[in-house]
Amino acid sequence: MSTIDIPTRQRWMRALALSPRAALESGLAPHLPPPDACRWLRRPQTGLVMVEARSGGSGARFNLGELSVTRASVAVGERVGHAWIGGGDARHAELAALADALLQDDARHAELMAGVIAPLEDAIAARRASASRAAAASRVEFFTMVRGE
Amino acid sequence: MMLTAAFAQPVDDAQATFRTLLSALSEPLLPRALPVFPDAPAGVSPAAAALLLTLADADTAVWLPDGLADAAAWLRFHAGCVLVSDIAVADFVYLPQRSALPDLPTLKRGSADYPDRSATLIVDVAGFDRAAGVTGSGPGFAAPRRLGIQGLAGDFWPQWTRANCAFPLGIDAFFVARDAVVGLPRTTRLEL
Repeated sequence: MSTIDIPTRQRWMRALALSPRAALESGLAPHLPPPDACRWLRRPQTGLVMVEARSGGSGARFNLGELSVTRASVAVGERVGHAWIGGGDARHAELAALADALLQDDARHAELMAGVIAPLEDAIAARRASASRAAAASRVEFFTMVRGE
Repeated sequence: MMLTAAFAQPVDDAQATFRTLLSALSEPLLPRALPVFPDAPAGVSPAAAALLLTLADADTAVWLPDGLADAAAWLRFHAGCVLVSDIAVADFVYLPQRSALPDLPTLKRGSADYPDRSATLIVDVAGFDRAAGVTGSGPGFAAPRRLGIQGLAGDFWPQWTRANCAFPLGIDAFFVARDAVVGLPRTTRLEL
């Protein structure tokens, strides 16, 4: 169907899902197809998914908690875009699904990756770095005192 | 391959259709109008598509005849159901018009402990005729009722009788034609 490999698609889907809606709205505005060129296969729907985790990353599996998730699917021409995002923002899911469909188009892929996805990824990395700095600044070192005997 | 949309309002439309199907099974052989129709994939009538979307979910296995690849992809996407190639394990069996009739007694008929774990047929037919055809009586009939089901395979009724000879084990069916649906549970006694 398309020449794009799964890790590349995962990369842009991650960027689309983790970015705030306003950033998608402004970044995608010049690229969005007219509304009558989009067939919505699945309008945004919000539901719950159970997030599972492993203690220590490798221990027994347990249910960490439920996360609300919004999904949407759209066909733009022959390409079908899907989006699954955390939270209940329907417009965010719509934008992410549209972007997923457009990014599968080889003719526009490079332009969108450089013009939309790369800035989103930079912003995600910057947010992450500043959160890590804030956490590191409040770090407390614990020392074990050895009692003299 | 081209995916199409399904119900415009997935929850409301499926609930309205489900209510109609309950009525159809509680008064067998009485045609009822379906309330809403989805975009159907190639090879599936809109009425049958409405039934499949309403009844199939992640816990059900659906059997489709060969050659309905678009419909299989569509159903997997919208209903999330399992599509099986072995008709003996299917919960729902869809038969388009003029398709070959599978051997009905080989369908899942439930067990003595769980007779409800059985298959349900969804059959596309040409039309219904209240002035001719089979006569039914039993639960859901104030008086015996006649209904002709047009466009059924020739050996449908003999096979139906053999599939339902071990009550309470057996199979149930919905017939759809254009915008109407008719229910036929295994409890109906038929005079052919």
